[in-house]
Amino acid sequence: MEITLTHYLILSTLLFAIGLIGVMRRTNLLMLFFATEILLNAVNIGFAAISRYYGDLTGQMFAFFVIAIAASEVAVGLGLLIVWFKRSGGIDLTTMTSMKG
Amino acid sequence: MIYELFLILPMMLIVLGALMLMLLSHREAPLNRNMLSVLILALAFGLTLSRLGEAHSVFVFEAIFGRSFIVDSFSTLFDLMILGGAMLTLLINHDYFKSRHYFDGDFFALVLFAVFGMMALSHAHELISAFISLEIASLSIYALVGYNSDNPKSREAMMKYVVLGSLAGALFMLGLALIYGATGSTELGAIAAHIAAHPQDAHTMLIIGGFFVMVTLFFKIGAVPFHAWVVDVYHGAPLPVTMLMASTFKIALFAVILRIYLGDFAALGDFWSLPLQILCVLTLIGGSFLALSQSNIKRMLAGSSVVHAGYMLIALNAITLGNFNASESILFYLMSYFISSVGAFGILSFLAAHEHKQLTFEDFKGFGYSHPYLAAMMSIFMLSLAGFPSTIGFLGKFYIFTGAIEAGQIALAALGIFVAFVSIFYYFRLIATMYFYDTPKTEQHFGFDTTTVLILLMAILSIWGGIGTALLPYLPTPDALIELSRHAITSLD
Amino acid sequence: MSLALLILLPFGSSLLLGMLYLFTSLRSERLYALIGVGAPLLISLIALWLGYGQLQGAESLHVSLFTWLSIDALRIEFALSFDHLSAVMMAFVSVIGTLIHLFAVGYMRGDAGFGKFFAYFNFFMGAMALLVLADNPIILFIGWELVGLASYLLIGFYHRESANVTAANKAFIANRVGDFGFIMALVLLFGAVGEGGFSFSAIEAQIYSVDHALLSLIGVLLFVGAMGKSAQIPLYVWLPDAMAGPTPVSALIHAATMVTAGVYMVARFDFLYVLIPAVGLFIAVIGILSALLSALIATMQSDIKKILAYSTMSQLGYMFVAVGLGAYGAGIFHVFTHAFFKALLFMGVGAVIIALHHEQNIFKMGGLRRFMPLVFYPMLIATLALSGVAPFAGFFSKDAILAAAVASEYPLFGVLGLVVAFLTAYYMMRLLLLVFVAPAKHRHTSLHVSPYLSLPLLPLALGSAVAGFWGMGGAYGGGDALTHFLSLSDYAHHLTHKSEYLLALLSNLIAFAGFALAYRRFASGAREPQPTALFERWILERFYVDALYHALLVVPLRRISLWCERIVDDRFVDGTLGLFSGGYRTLATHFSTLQNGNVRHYALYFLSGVSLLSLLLLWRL
Repeated sequence: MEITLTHYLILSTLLFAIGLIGVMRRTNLLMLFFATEILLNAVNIGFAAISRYYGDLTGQMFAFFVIAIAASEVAVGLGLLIVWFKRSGGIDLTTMTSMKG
Repeated sequence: MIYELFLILPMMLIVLGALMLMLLSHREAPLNRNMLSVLILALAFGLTLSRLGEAHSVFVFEAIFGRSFIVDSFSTLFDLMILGGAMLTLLINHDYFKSRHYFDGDFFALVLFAVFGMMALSHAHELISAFISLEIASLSIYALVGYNSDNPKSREAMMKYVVLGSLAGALFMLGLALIYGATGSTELGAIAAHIAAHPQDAHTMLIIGGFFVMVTLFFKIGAVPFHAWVVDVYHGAPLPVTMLMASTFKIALFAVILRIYLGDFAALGDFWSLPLQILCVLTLIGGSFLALSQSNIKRMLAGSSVVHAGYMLIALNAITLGNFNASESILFYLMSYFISSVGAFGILSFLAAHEHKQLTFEDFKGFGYSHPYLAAMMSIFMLSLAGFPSTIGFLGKFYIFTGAIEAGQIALAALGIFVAFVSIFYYFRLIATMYFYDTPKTEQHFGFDTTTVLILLMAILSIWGGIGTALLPYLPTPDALIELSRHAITSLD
Repeated sequence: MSLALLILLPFGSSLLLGMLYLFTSLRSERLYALIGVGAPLLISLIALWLGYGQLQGAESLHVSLFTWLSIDALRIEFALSFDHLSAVMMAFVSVIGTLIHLFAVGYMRGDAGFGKFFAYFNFFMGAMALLVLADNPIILFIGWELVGLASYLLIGFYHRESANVTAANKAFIANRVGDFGFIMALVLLFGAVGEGGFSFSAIEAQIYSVDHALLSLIGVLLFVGAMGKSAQIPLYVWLPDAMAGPTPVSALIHAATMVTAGVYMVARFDFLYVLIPAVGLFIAVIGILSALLSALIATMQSDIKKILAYSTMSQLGYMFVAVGLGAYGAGIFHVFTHAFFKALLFMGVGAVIIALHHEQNIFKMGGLRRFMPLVFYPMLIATLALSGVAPFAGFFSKDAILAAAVASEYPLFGVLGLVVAFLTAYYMMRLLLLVFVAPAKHRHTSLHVSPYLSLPLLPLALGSAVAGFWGMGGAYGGGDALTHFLSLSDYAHHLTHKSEYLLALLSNLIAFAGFALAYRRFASGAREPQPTALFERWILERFYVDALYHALLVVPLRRISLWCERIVDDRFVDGTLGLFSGGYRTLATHFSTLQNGNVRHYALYFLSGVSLLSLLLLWRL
């Protein structure tokens, strides 16, 4: 079976859905960041596939940008996570509800 | 070449300034970093100001960047607003910075990076660069929100913002992928050309992609139902950061929203209008719900900022329906909201700096007696935010509602007016709290310093913007602002 | 330019003082006094210089600062003019105003609101200058309103006491009633002649084209405005209560500013009133009734300031008799002389009140002549002048009015005027005797009078003695110089010299009769009168006018308001609104429970919003 653009896009969509479910289901902050990574990489697959489909390199270039951005986002997130862990001894999302209403 | 360098000089100045502040951040030498960053911003402001009023539209370094960065009258006006906003935010928090130990050099470097991101956002003519600029600004702001890491609220706010912000960022990328898939390009001009070249019903993917992109931007301005973070993050963030997010960042976001809208998506108005109207209704009502149920002033202002975003969405909807004049009303509204909200936050910051208050409604009991002048100015800001006639806020709302009515959106305008009435409740609640409780507190002396002078300036501007036209025929008036905005918008065509 | 200075100086210094007071911690009385007295001093120098020019026959000055309003053909210039009438008014307003400012420096010493007081005071001067110099009725009205505002602020100056605030409100409201008439008149006048320009000269040029009935209505309405400002029946109730303000304020209101505005305005509109003598008669009737009524009330008062207040009202009544009967020159002449001795009297009384630590009941005073001769003798001169004793200032102006009244078709005015003169002499001598001559009721051995308080009295005493010579009538060898200078459209008749002498003799005799009666009753002291006769009780209760207003206007209005509040507002409006707003707030509370602080739920809202909206988009495609 030949693998076409559609397949890649379906894969991308599946990954994106997995990421979304992860964001909503996971209570561990670390897992949450993983889920976000999955989201961004799902988009990356889409970019690369479309780029190949059009024969236009810009899409793959974008994928690199996205990787860079994902990395910096995770860097910021992990920094926060470490601080949080040091101060409160846990990274459970459900405990972080001091502000509400 | 030299001219193009000159055009991007303000942005370069900001980046260099940020880097310099970072390098200086661990020097022990007494250095007023706040004033240094204000100086850098002021330099960039002055450089940008020299371009104001001349019509220009240049893709800078087209050979290198393609058509991804543009410098035009539109971006110039927005740059001015962003730079001026950041400058005022830093200056008005002068006392606050001095009263808290944790504002070191890195803080101001991050502020400058955020400003750089915002400026880049207003220059972006290509969606990837828009996203990168947005992320530069957002990442800096994430760090700023959690800057006071000793305060669990600040940490929590940052965490919420990072989690939801990266989710929104992923949606932006998804939308971008769809747009790229549909049109083969992410450059706004090319997308517009694609839309024009194809029949209306061939744009399914483009519209969905565009919707995801817009969702991210709407998330950042706090439209309901993407609003949930706003109140918590505004509450937890250090006050100067809250101000930066509420006013300056919002200006930058509307820069890119307007550019995308007026450039491309307006042509697809038929599809846009309905979801946008739903968003308007939800944002206006949801925001007023949020603001109504708060007991902390910071949270109340956060909730009300959601409502203000809703007003601007009304105007955006009017643009969608073909009333392009409404974009000027958005610009004017941004300025008017900026003036009044910076003033109100400035008073909060002044109080937090000098009296270490929690800033709940309770704390404002008898404020009218202990600080009569500040209370009077606070009342002006509240009146202006509520859109009371003879304040600049009234004119802002007036332009928005007339724009909506011209576009035939009478129901939305009526809802806007209704919500404005509701807003009187929570704004006047503060005024009533200040004046209707007599307390044994003695009157505090009103002293002039950077913070209070700027608050006074904002109060004067709020009034001047509202009645200046009538009283001072020789000074520039709100009409001049509108004229300026009109001029800037024309450069988009 | 110098005209503009007359306006800008007081307003500017008022602004400066206000800023200093509000925004700095400077509380140096010396500084505030310097600025506060300097500004009126400067404007009086300018006014005198300009006035001298007018006296030498210079052209009247006009200056248009800017166009205030321009709608199609209609243009309202912010214009000032300086003609003979404004020259006279401006000269004495500024000079006497300056002296009162000087007096106030001594009077307000040590008051926490010293700076604020002078800011208001200069503002008052500026407002009055604007009123006097206005070149069209609109600008005059602005000045008129600002004067009202300034008086409101100053009467309520000691605003911590609710009685003072009530008094300030009363003054403001009574004036508003009058202003309503004024505004109506301006609207009608504008409708009639507005198209051809609205400056006084332009109106004068077109006045003949206006229908007589309409003109009469305008005249009456204008006079309603004057009633409010100049405290005539029935709008006089605020004037006695206005004594709540510091004494310099009373002096300024009664002598130089505010109450004379009504007379000035009628004189300014002389060209209009000349055409409607019937309205003039109405004015004269109101004037003489006010004069009589207030003189009667004054004879029974025991509060030293209230006596003077009613006396002002009574003298204003004279002035209205004059302008009503067409003797505009005589009216303004009396305004002019009255300013001197009334300012003097108030300032003297102020000095007495300060010396006695704010005692205002004349029956608790006495024997002060020994302690404060520098106050007593000037006040004696002023009393003589007020009572119209020759050759003091009041004699000539009052005589001019009486002569015009006697010579008119209704000599009854003259007779009543003489009765008022008798009462005036009586109550003034009563005041003087009880305060200065009668045996002392207090145990002071020495009383300090600051030179700031007594020195300004001396120039005023001189003025009260000689100011009358300027307007001396032909019968006494003068040439009615003031009246000729003013050159208003007088139409009053003149008496022959012989009858004029007779009148003068009569009025002097009457004044001395008043003195004599007062001397018999009060020279050796008296107890506070207990009203016995019905008539006396009436007088003491000020003819129950206040009570009548209260019963007729205040109480029903309050009832209606209460009814509106309780039934219409509370039950109906608030009930309905409460239903909505309560519902809205309940919804808000429910909504805010969604804001539960859990970021996963936030993500859920976000994503469900995105999905629903994108489904909607897909469905629409």
